[in-house]
Amino acid sequence: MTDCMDVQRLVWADHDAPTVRAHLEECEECRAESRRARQLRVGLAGLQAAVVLPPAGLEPALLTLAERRRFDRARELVYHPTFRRGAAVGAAAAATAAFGIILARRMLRPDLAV
Amino acid sequence: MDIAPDVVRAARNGDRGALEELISSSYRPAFTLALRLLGNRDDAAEATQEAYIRMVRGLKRLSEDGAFRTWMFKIVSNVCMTELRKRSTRAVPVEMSTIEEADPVDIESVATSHAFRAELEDALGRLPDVYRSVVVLRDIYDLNGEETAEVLGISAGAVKVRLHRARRKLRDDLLTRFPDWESDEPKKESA
Repeated sequence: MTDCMDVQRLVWADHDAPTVRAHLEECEECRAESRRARQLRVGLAGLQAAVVLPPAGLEPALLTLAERRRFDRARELVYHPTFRRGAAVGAAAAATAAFGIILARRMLRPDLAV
Repeated sequence: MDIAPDVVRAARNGDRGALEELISSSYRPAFTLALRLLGNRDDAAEATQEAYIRMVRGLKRLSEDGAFRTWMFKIVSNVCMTELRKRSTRAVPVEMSTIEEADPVDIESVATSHAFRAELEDALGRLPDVYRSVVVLRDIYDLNGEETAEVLGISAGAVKVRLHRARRKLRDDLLTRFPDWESDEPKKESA
């Protein structure tokens, strides 16, 4: 026979073993404890829908923070070493290409040379 | 906190309006969670701001748009747990009577009665931090055992033990307020 103390410990730990169910059918005291456990769980779950009114300035502050964070992120990207290395390489490539074009034009059309 | 997955997706793709909608529709439950964990409105507001900075920073890494709610609760909980670990003294439990009922759950009249919920909220505030945090995350915000263990930095086994003890403490506390709390309609003790 299952002991009341064991059953009452198990109902608070969400155990639903057949032995527990069998005991509950016979024991009014443990049924009451089982009802309390269920009511507590339902009551706690219901608290998620109950919200507290936050301070009035919280929402604008959060929206500002989010916007600032987007700017910070863009700035981080611009100042990130990878971005700066890429930009330097890109600038060097553009300068080389421009120099190549000028050189090529001079070779093809010497009359354009100053 | 009902947030459509396409709003989350749009916010992640840089849509400013969607990000604002995401924040506006989620910050009240997030603040409430922080308040339940920290017990202090100023600390809860600060924690909420820190959580939203992390949210905006990490939104690109959220792989499942429908999982925003749980993800956001985990961020808030992580920020709050860091704050709780730094604390040497416990804040005085906050007065939660200003709560507004949004979508009340009508499952069992006792569990959803105003008097019971008010006492339950008070009893939660009286729980020690270690028990309150686990019952708030598991039983109110529906994080699973592993998620709760991860947020609290403890094992899944420890979550079970703390949860069991927390419920029993709540039960003992509530029984002093509702001495006949085994019937369907418990009456609050007068005096």
